Amino acid sequence: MKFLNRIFESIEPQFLKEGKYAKYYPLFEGFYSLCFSPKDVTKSKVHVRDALDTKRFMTIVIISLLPCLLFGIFNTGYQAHLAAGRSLDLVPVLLTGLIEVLPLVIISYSVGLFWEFLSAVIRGHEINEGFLVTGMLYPLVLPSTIPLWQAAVGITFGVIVGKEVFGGSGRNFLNPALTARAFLFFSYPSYMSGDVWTSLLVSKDQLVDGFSGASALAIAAATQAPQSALVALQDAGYTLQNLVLGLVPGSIGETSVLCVALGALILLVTGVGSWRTMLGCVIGAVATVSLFQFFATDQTIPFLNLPLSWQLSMGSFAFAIVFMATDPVSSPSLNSSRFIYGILIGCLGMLIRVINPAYPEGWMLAILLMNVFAPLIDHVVYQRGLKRRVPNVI
Amino acid sequence: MKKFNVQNTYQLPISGKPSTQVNVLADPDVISVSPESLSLIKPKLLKKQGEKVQIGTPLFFDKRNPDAIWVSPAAGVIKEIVYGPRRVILRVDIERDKKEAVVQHETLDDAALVAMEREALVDRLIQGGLWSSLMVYPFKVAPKKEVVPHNIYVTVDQDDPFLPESDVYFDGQTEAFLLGVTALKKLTTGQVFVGVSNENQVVYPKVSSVVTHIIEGAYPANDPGVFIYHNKTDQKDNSAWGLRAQDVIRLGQFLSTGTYPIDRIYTVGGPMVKSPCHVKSREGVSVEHLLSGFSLTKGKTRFILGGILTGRQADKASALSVREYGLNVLQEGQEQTFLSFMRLGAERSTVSRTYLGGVMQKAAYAMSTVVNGGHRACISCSACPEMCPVGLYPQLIMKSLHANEMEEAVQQGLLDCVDCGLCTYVCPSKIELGSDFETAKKSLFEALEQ
Ligand code: SF4
Ligand code: SF4
Repeated sequence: MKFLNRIFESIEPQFLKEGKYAKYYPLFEGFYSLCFSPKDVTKSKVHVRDALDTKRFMTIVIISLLPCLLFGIFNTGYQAHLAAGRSLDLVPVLLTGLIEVLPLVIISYSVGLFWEFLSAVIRGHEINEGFLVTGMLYPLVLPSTIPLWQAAVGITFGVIVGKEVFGGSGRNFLNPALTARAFLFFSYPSYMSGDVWTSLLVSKDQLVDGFSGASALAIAAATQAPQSALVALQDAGYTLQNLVLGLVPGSIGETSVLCVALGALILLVTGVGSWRTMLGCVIGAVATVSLFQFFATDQTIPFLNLPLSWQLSMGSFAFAIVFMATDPVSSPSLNSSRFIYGILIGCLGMLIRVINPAYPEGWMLAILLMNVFAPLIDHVVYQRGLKRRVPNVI
Repeated sequence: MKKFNVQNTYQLPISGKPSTQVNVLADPDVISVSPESLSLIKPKLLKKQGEKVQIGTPLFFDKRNPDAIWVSPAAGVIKEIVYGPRRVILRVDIERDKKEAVVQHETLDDAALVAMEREALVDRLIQGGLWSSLMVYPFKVAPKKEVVPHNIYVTVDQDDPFLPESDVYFDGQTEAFLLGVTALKKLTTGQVFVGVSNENQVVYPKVSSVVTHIIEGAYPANDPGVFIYHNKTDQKDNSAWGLRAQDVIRLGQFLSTGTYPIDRIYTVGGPMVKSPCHVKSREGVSVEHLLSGFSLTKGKTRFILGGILTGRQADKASALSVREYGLNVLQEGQEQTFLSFMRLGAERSTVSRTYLGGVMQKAAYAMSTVVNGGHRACISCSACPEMCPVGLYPQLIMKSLHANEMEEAVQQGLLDCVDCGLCTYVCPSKIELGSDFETAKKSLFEALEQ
């Protein structure tokens, strides 16, 4: 590794202030610090620093996403093979999954990084590791059926509009991955809200009998009174166990509650994800579902009466509250407002999911909306806190 | 007796904690005074190169506040005045005489002090060069003569990594401390609050007659600024005075002996020092002198005068100023590691639980001065408010300051900041929050002075 470091060191002068490529310093710094820990020493009065940096912070998030990614690869293959009636052995299933998912991940990273690098060079600011997380989150919330070019357009929009127009990472108030996803949802609704979530390996008429490809959400939302949503789901072959495990059609990385829980565990143990946000979301969602059940009758839409356990394990609820809502940059900055923010997301997301059948899933919109309100929540909470201080003004 | 708990505190787990053993050093030939290290003053010299001085001869004062006089801690000839860039006075070096002459003031005992007029006491302190060691919050500068503080806050203990421990500097100085407190009582119409750490078993019984508060919490719970913050109920205390026990002891020593106190207890600590401990020497010794008798680990070093989270960087020739009581030696920089952020990191110290070292929470890590990451934009991780002992949201203040909203920053509590450095320490984006606040306070101070 000494050798590699020497290469970096030998080219470094060209990227420094007076150097030929000074403009590209962010690029150089990005790569250099990716390989080797920076050698900078403290200059101010605080002579030592905590070992945690943003790179480690984001690495932890990526690690916590790995179970979802791996399972997503498997499940994509599994669902495709199931629909086509092919072998469900592990190896062919994984291969199919890889062929479907990997290109999306690669597109997401390469296109996103391109924009990130470009804006870093133009603005002359450092490359923020936050993108490493966005680049991983984004493909996981896409259906595997999405055309690659759409994925590329989406991430471009996400990075530029979700982040760079506000001044880059740290100044953006929207979650870039969700912005990208929302853009696709509104621009190409047929892919994002349609029923088909499963990659079809064969033409439609060769699909196995009974394959509908409809997600649990779509079924629950389409159920008409007086039928029960639960029965409709069970008729379509869904079980609670399936939903928890994640062996159901859906966005690539969102289906398995178990894998999300594993990721949540990593985030909570390391303290990288805010437990207040997660807990708030759960409380909000549980309260809303309880409220639904309280008001549910034979005449109301059957979705209202779906048991809590099902509500919490279907769709992208788990993934959204663990990985999307906890994005620190687009969350409120105060801990107590994070709790409020979580509760509001929980309520709002559940409301959109159940009451508004036009949107198949409420979490994306709920989180984006609360992103917008995050500064306001902060402001209110903060002003209340300030009142408790003895002012120290001149 | 009141008790209060400081919520956000942190014991920096760094190795090289000085033992309570005290090494006694011989006096050096040259004693230095370092005006440059005193923040927010404009020093004006009263003596020239080649002039003779005694212990206690006024040496320089603050142009903004002529009552803040600093006196010579040695007797002899001014050998050299060392200037830095823009003609700031880095150091005044005094070559010592064999027999050091002293400026003698009247001696006082407790009863005489109580009977003394406030004004006479103030004059005595100004002439003796101890008025300048009093500190008015929030800017921590010496008071103007006519100012009567609302209250005065004194903390007995020192919890900075690493500065002398109260057990050591109180040894034989209880009388002086109590006399110092009596003097302070004369200076205020309010109260003199004295806080002592709840872990202090040795000193507390000796001074319990004047103690008003028990302080719970690690660094920087025993900072006078934190004490003020936790006790204040109205705005008048914002400009209270805050003092450390060592300075109160010096007050007492001066009043009882009538001579400027030059003896000091220092610490020499930090990961690079082999067998770190306390040192008995005198004011104005150089780093080099202080290090005599210590051996250091091989490698590039950084010398820090004062606490590791608050001190100033210095070289061997620098001298410790009147406000600096400790020398810490750290390794400068660190060998770069390949794919550093992917390691388990059992040897790394972090407040978070993102590296194994943060989970294990060992008592001491051999930290170096490496920044541990590149500078990034704030990611709103909310780590900094969790560290702030005075309940601030450093990230919000920083954002106000970056947007040039000074007024907003002050509303948010900028002036309550005690410069503990914990927010800067913890920030994963390696933002220099502390320096930003200090610069802002400085410009505020200067604007107010005009
Ligand atoms: S703002 Fe930072 S430096 Fe100031 S008191 Fe709080 S933690 Fe310490
Ligand atoms: S610790 Fe640094 S990155 Fe985190 S909120 Fe504070 S200023 Fe922002």
